[in-house]
Amino acid sequence: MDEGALVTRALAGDQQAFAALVEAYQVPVYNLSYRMLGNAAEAEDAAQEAFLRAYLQLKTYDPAKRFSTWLFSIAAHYCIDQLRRRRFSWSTLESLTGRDSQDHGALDPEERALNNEEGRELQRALMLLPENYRLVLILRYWQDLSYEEIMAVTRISESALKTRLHRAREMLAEKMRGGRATPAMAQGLVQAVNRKEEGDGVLSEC
Amino acid sequence: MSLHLDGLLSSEESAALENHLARCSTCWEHWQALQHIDRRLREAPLVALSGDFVPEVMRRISLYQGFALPAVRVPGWAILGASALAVVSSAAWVVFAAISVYWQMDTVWYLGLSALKSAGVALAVADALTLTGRSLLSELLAPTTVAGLVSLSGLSVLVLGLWLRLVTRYSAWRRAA
Repeated sequence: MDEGALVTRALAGDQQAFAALVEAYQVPVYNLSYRMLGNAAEAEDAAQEAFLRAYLQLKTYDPAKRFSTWLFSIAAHYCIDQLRRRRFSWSTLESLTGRDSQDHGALDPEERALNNEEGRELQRALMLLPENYRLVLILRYWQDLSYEEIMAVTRISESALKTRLHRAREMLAEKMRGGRATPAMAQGLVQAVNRKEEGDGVLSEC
Repeated sequence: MSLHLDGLLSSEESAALENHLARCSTCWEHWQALQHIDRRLREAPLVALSGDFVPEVMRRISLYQGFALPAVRVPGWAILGASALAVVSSAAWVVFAAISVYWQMDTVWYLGLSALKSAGVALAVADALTLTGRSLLSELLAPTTVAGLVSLSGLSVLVLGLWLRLVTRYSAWRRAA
């Protein structure tokens, strides 16, 4: 059964139809949450919450748009909300205890299975990016969304998305190099090259 | 460079960029770093989920629905009427309260008495009439009178409705979570 029919049936109160939608989107939504939050247990809870919210807000869904972008938008906003709350509670807790908030304790079995050293390094670097930068990378790479779809999820303009994606890649490269920028980044040459890319398209010299 | 990674440059733009990269070692190093990141991101795996994810989501939905108040369709005119009653009764209570505080009973009595005397009514009769009026007005403004009861009821219904809505929504979210 196609997605539109499932949504229509779910809107009419058919819980089996909604369960089929959850089944179809559980992995992408969970992965979005996991990459955003960096913790398996929190990600599972966030993904469940995103589906619950989607169910409750189903009447606001516009069938002319893709269900996946609408659902990712709910999940992404919920994750950003959780990160802001976490930041607040961590800063409060730290101020009381002086504990390092970045220490999340031992990895659970699922995280251990997923994360070899390379995977851990990537996720660690990803978690160091600002959440809006992290989100566009996740949507681009793990959800395989086009620019138009990412714009629909994040509600930003095309030029803002281009800049954000580029900066996110640069920052991630820098974090993966242990905080060392490439010489081009350090000299601000990349920005010059990119201005030319977006401008007259002429590349002459750095 | 980012657009080139996503294959969004035209062939002319791509050629210009590659031409530049061939001549500029600084940009070439940067391009290599971006390509490396792009490759790492593309190769990053999707995380698997536990098998009971779907039943857990449906359980949370059922919990929410089980605890939430049944959706009752209230006609628009009823909502408007209830709101109007609450607003009017609250406003009436405020007006009566203001009169009783700022416009003393004695003033009402003197005004009434003067008006009746000017109209040529005998003093004893005017006095009796205004005293009766004064006691009636005092009765009306007392909290146990109909006006007071109606206005307080309106306010109570409004506050109770909002409180009930808040508590049930909060409890449902807590249970579902």
